[in-house]
Parts: sequence; structure tokens; C-alpha cells
Amino acid sequence: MIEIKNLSFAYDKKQPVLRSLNLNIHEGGIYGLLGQNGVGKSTLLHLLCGLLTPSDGEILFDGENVRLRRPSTLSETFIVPEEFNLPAITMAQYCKINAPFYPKFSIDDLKDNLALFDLNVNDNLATLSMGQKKKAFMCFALACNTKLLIMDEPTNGLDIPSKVQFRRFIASHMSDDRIIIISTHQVHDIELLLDHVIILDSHDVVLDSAMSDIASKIYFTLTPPNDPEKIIYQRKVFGATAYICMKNQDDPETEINLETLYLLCCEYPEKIKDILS
Amino acid sequence: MNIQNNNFSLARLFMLIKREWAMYGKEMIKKAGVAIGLLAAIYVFVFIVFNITISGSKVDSDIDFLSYVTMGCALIIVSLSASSICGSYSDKDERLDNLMSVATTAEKYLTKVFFNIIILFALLVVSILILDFIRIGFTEFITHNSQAQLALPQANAWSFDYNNFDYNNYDTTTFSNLFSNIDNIIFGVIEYLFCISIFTYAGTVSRRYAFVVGVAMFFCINILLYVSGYIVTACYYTELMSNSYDTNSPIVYLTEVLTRVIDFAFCITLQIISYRKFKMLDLK
Repeated sequence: MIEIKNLSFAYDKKQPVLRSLNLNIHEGGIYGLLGQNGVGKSTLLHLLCGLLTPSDGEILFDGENVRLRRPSTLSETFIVPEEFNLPAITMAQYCKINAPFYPKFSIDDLKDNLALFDLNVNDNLATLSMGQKKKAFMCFALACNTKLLIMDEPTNGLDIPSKVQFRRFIASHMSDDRIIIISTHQVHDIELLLDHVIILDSHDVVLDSAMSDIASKIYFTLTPPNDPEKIIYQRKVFGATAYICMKNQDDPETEINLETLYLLCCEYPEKIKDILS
Repeated sequence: MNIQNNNFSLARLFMLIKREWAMYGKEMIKKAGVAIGLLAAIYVFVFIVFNITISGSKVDSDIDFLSYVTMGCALIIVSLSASSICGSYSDKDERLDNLMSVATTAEKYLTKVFFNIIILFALLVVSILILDFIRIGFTEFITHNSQAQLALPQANAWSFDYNNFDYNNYDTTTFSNLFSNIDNIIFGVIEYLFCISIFTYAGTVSRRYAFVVGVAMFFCINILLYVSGYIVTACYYTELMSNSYDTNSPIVYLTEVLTRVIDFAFCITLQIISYRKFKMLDLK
């Protein structure tokens, strides 16, 4: 479990990025981290890995402070950053030098993952395109079977078929003792995948809720409800109107439209907190 | 071996060194090899071609500039080390990769030390040995004297008179210029450590301008240390003022030893300070 206690961080003292953030992240879930540009998503991900030093507060991963960057924590954490460099060696050589650092690494998982993306373990990493490098690195990341896997904008640079495969790929590697945190602007790529959503805005967490909880309290529709008082939020979408409405027992559960939910959280953060609390 | 052990582990250090070699080391050696190879080619061309065309069966001492080539090789290696150290602090991707390596901070730091101090210094030594081997081989060839290797004395190549040396009357064996005596070896090692320590510290002070800060620090500190070394031994200072000092005098020798000790102590202190700053390093 990850416990974030009173976390504050600023690159510049005059402009804090995060202020007294409190959050608990439990095993067995795929978490989506959403927010506007510059709100601090990547910063939070880096803080979770211990790559940044908080100005205040702490982050504990299974009771250990991540900032200490101990091998016991690092061997159970893997981050796929938005941009990265890979050396000019084959995937097989890359595995040979990096896999021993991850005790749960599985070569069979890696080969299966690579096969899903039409890649080969003998491909030279330097000769791959940006999208292929991303796929190769994600294959390695998942094959490490670390307890915590963080991905920053993982679908950037992936073609449409690969985005479909990505969802299948992530879902198949989920387990009860694993945490996967995905930060992205491409909400449509991951909304069917998520178990939990975290939305950041104005230096704080606006929404921290399981998708099942959200689906049990509100529903999403393109047709206006019979009772207009049930409408919490509405917005124009390609000539139609998307509605978020309060859910009664009689109302069916619908898929969550993350884009609309995100806009509701940004425009009326207090409203969504009241509804979900 | 338990990779998740939080204590210092030699096995993990070796794994980290192997990883660093595969990811960055080969590239570094290639760059060093190309630069030193170019310098060596120029030396060999000038030394051999000029000697054959101008001197005939003799070796012209004016054309042997191995000492300058040695300094050039050292400069290339120090620049590469400095560039590697500063790059690992300033390049965000490399920094992230280093920070996320599954190892203790001490193991990560020692890996850097191993590459920049041991591997590159070994490369420097091998380069000089190869160049000296070429010099000796050519001298043997041109003077038709297979004993030339033994005939060349422990002299500084700048002052050795190849043309008038009596190759049949010798009592010394030769090594490359840098290794003519133990003092030179110690001097070389300490100077190299000195340069690397400065750049290591500069990397922790300013990530963006690490190289510039390192060069500036190198010149300032070098001047300061030499001045302080002379001041430490008042007697030598007095002798220096009289312009009649004897290079073999114990006072002069003591001053040189003290200067080396101060240099070495400075290197170690800087490495300790750099390590403590390295522990606080993050992605910011």
C-alpha cells in the first residue's frame, strides 16, 4: 500500500505544485491520474518513486519512505516515463543486464508481451521507432512484475491497434498484490481499464474514488432524465448533450465517461466531493 | 544473493558496473579510442616519417614529442571523464535511470568512481604504453640497435639527445616517460584524481553548467594548492627567493611530498563531500 501523508512540493517556493496532499493507494487496482497540463501529475509520479524530495510530508510504500530509495523499495518499483532513452543494444542484452535487479522478472512474460506487439527479443533497441521503443520498454516493465508500476502518458506515440493491445496487455498483467498507476491526457485510451480514478486540480486532489463507487452514485447519459433535478452536470458533445445525473436504485449503471467527469471535477469540485462522500 | 538487501553488497556493485559498462561504457571507450587513436596516428606519422626523411639513420630528439602527446591523451581522458560525470548529473533521462537503479547510493557512487577513475585511467596508461612501445620500436629500427630499448635512459624525452647518445654504453632500462620513476606514477595518479574529484563536485553544485564550473574550479584550486604548498615549507620558500635551490635537497623533496599529500587529501575530501551531495541528488 502507498500512503501519501501531508505531501507538499514546489519547484519554486513562490509556486507550489502540491499542497498538503493526502492519499492512500491500495494493491489490486489500476489507478488513473488525471489533471490539466502543469497541475503536477508527473511530479506526483516522480515523488511516488522517490525521484523528488518533498518540501513537506512523506510517501510510504509498504511502510518504507520512498525518498530513501532503498533497494528493497526500488526493486518493487518501475516507472515508464514519458520520454526515455534506450541504449544501442538488443532487448536480449538489455534484459541480461537489467533483469537481475528485479527478482520477479519473467523472461516468458517478456517474450509473450513482445509477441503481442510484433517485436522480437533480438531487435536492436536503437533501430526501433519511438512507438516501438515505448512498446518494448513497457513489455520489459510488465515482465519485471514489480509491485508498483507507474506509467506516464503510456499511449503517446502508439498507433490505434497498439492502443487496443495496450489495454489488453495491462489488464492481463493485473494481480491482487499489484498497483498500476497511469497518468494520461488520453482518457479514452484507458477509461475502460481503470479501477480507480484520481483527479488533481489546484494543488490538491479533487477526486479520489473507485470507478465502482462512482458508477453506483451517478450515471452518464446522452438523453435528458425525466426529472431535471437529477442533472448534476451537462455539456455539449458533437451536437448532442452529455449529462451526468444522480443515480437511484432504479437507474441502470452506465459506463463512466471520464472526459465529462473530469470537466465536472474541474468546474465544480465541491459538488463532486459532496456527491461521492 | 538477495537483491532487495538494503546493505552494501559487492555482488550488486559488480552487477551495476556490468550494467553501466553495457549501457554507457562501450560508447565512452569508443570515443576515447577514436580521439586517442587520432593523436597517436599524428605522433607516429610525424615521428617516423620526419625522422626517416630528415634524420636518416638517427632519431631527431626535436621531433620526439611524446611528452606533449601524453599530455594530450591525459586531456582527452579527463575531458571524457568530466563529460561523463557532468552528463550523468545534467541529462534528465540518465539521472532518472541512475536514481531508479536498484542499488544503494554508495554502490551507485562507487560505480561512477570505478568508471571514471579506474577504467578511463587504465585506458590512459595503456595508450601511453602503446605510444612508447612505438617510439622504442622505431628507435631500435632506425639505429639498427636491438638494445635501444635498454639504452634509452630514464630521462625526460624533451631533453634526451638521441643523436649523440652512446648506445653501446648504458646502464639503465627504459620505461615510458610517464613511468620513469615511482614519483611520476604517484604524481600522475593524484593529478588525475584531482581533476576527476573537481568535476564530480562541480556536477553536484551546478547541473546545467557542471563542465564550466569544473574547469573554473580546476584552475582556481590548482593555483591555490600550489601556492599553499610552497607557503607550508618556509625554508623552501626562502630558498626559492634566493634562486639557488637544489632540486635534490630534502627541503625541496619535502615540499613536493607535502604538495602531493595536500592534493591527495583534497581529492579524498572532495569525494566525500561529493558523495554526501550525491545522496541528496534528485530529479529536480
